[in-house]
Amino acid sequence: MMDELVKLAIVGTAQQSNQQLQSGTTLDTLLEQCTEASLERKLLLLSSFQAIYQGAGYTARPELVAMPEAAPEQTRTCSGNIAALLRSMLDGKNGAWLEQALLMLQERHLRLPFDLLPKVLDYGKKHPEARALIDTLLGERGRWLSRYNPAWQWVQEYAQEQEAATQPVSEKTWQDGSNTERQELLSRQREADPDKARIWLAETWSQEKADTRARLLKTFKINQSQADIPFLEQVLNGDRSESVRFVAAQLLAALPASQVAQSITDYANRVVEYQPGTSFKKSYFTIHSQPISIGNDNLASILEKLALDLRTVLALIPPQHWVERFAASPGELIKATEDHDLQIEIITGWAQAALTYQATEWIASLLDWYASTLKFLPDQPEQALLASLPQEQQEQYILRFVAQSEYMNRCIPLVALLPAPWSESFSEQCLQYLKAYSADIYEQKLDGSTWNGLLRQACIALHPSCFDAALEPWPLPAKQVWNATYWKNQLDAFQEMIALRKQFHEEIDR
Amino acid sequence: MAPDAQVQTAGKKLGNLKHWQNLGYNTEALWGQCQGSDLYAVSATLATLSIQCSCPSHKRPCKHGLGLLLIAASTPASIVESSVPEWVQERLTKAQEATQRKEARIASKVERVGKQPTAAQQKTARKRQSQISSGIETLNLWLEDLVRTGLGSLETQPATFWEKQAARMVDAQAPGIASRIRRLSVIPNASPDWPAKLLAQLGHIALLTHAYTRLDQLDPKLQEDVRLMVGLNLKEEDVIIRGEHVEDDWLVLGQITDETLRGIARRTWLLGKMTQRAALIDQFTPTNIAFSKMIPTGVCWHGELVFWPGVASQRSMILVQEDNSTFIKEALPGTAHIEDFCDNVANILACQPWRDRFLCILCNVTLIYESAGDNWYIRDEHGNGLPLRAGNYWEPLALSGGQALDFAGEWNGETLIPLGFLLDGIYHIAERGQ
Repeated sequence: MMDELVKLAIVGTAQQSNQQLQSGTTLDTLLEQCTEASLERKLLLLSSFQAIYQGAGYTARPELVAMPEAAPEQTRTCSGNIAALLRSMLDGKNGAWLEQALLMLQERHLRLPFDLLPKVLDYGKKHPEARALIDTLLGERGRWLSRYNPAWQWVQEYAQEQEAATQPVSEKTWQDGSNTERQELLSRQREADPDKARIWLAETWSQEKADTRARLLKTFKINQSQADIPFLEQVLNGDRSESVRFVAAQLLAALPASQVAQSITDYANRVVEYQPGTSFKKSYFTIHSQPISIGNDNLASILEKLALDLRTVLALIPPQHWVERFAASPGELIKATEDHDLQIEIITGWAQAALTYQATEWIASLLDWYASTLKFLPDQPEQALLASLPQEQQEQYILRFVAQSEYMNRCIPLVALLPAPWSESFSEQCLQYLKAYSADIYEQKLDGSTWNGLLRQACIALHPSCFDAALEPWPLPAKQVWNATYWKNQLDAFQEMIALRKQFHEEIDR
Repeated sequence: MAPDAQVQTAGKKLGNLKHWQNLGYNTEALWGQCQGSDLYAVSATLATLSIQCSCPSHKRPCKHGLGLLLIAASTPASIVESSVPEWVQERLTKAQEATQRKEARIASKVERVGKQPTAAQQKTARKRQSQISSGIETLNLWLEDLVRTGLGSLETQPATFWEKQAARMVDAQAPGIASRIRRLSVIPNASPDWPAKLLAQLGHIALLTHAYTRLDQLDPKLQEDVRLMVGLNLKEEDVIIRGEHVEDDWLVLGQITDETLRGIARRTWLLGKMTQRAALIDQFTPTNIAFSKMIPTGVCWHGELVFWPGVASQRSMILVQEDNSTFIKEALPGTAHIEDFCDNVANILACQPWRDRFLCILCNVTLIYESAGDNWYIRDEHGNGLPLRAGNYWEPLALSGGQALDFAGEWNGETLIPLGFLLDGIYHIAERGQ
């Protein structure tokens, strides 16, 4: 009936004045009492009666299915104060330290409080890199909750991935699976048992299509070893597909004992010449001026196609080869590249080789070279070399730059590599430097954003033993300049974060 | 408590001890001096949590006041009991004097009860009565005109269309009807069934004018309701004299704040533990100004409320609040079955058909999410459910884990707006946005 009334009201009674107003309910008797009312007034009153009638007769939705209850928790949760601190970080206040805070919970086998679960699950959706950590903190309730929100599907997906990774690799799937499944399985088998993976592939090799062979062969990058050489050389010399032969050649080039790697080394020997105590000759290292000439035509053609440049050639050869060949230390060889037009190419190639073959003496010498150069070197492996060292050595390397204003810009990205928290002594020295800088902030030559960059890193990585020193009043110059408020705000933000971390550390072990 | 998000953020920043000096408290107040662009003297009365500050901000409570309360909540040990400084004593004395003046006003009103109104008062009342009657006559013509020409034409009408008619009703001394007309302006195009909603609301106004013109035929209590809805408001002292006084342990279940065109309206729902009487405290403040009285929620205290005269009246004010607040911990006094609640709504509507908000207390119910349609429900043990207002209820669901809880909410005839829920002996206030 309400629909009829609404239709009439939308169109207007002027259009349909002969309408009879009746609801077919007891409401009509009420309306009958309004004998003197106009049609419009009757329509309004009946609509009101009808709405009240419907409100009074509201019936609940029946047969709603209950949600199953979440299982009881096995681990204890953190304190209310810790929960409040985590909530403020999840809301964006000092959020940079959130993952470290979650890590502290994990280390103490604590789970997240129930009320924080939605925010943390949202965080996991936006930050895939934090999912492994969050997964350990969810508890039964978190897993239960995630099942009902499609945005939190990642929890189930992550669990499935983890389960699949822990399942034994099945040979049946290798025989019957889809191409993607087989490739995934072969990768896992290469990680678990590279020899068995090679045998699997060798057994089915002749039945595979060319593009499948190429794709599967690429999994041999995982756990490559000399044991792969016979199979790869057989593929290189006998496979019908050029693309498959190309993949085999790429893999063999990275195995020093292979014929391909030997050929590359021979080739490199011809283009690199050095007399101890001198610099490298300008005419050497000009790789494209010397065509590749190797007895084996098939190999030569493949190597041509690899389009090896100087950097790649040097990266493929174990750096110790040059030490032995020229009877010179890594430091001497690096020094001999001074003034060479291709110095950066050579250093980068050696750096990549030093990382591949974990040549510690070379890593140290290369970092010495990087530390001594002020050149801006984009895309250089300095950071990768540094990351390969233990934290203590990384910190020692970075301390060479701290407090040297001309080096500070380079220092910031390196500091970002350091695991948090920093060591006690590194923290102390950084804090000392930052305080000294702030005392004279307007006279410093250094761009203030660099100081600010280090301050931002320090607030999340400073060692807990330095919290009290960091929270003491900082020496700021009395002189007032236009950006004084900006510096003060930066310092306030730093101290606010340190205060939060201090509180968190004190609370979590209480 | 914060009048806006900006003050809230600034207040949080001032919740740090480094900004404060001379912090102290006694049984009546809490105080301190905050260093901003000047040194501001800030104090808070403990009984009402009303804040006074010497800063020039027009927003109340200001950021300094919020900062002081945050310090009291987060680091109570930093505020020591001490003797009251002179400036705090002055403020307390002023507040006391204001209370005394109000009490004297009520006492003088009480004395006048039963006395005949003066000739001048009678003349004023007659004049107002005549203005209202003539205003209602014009309004009825306007309402009938809307239905004659059709509601379809209202889809494109600007807000001024409604405001103009509302202003006429204000001129006619019927601000209650004016406020109902203003509320109509947001209905067109707000939902797919807006014509039905608009028609029902227009119908309710027509029913109200119908009732007002036949006031003497109504039950005396309903007459009070009708007069109030038209806009013949009672002063607080009149409510105290004529209203129903109920003493109980009052559970302060939650608040709903609505921003309107003219300011901020806040409804606080209370429930008498013994009488099971629902009470609604309406507050209004212009934008950026704090409510004159803060009513902390999630607590229970013993006290006396006065209800406005009317049928099954729920509008009330606090007359006496004893200083014995405790957190709500025990099961809420309510029904376990949604059917019972719906019956209760029907009974109230039968006596007071304009009632559009009801306190809903449901015990041992569960929170249910239906992903198809993204709908949330409160479900009772029989499997019946009432829909919740669209919102984000993941946090309550995480807390409940599918277990039964006691629920408090406001029913508006279509959806429930949660006020809070009791789970494992802890009463959780529904957050804004829930």
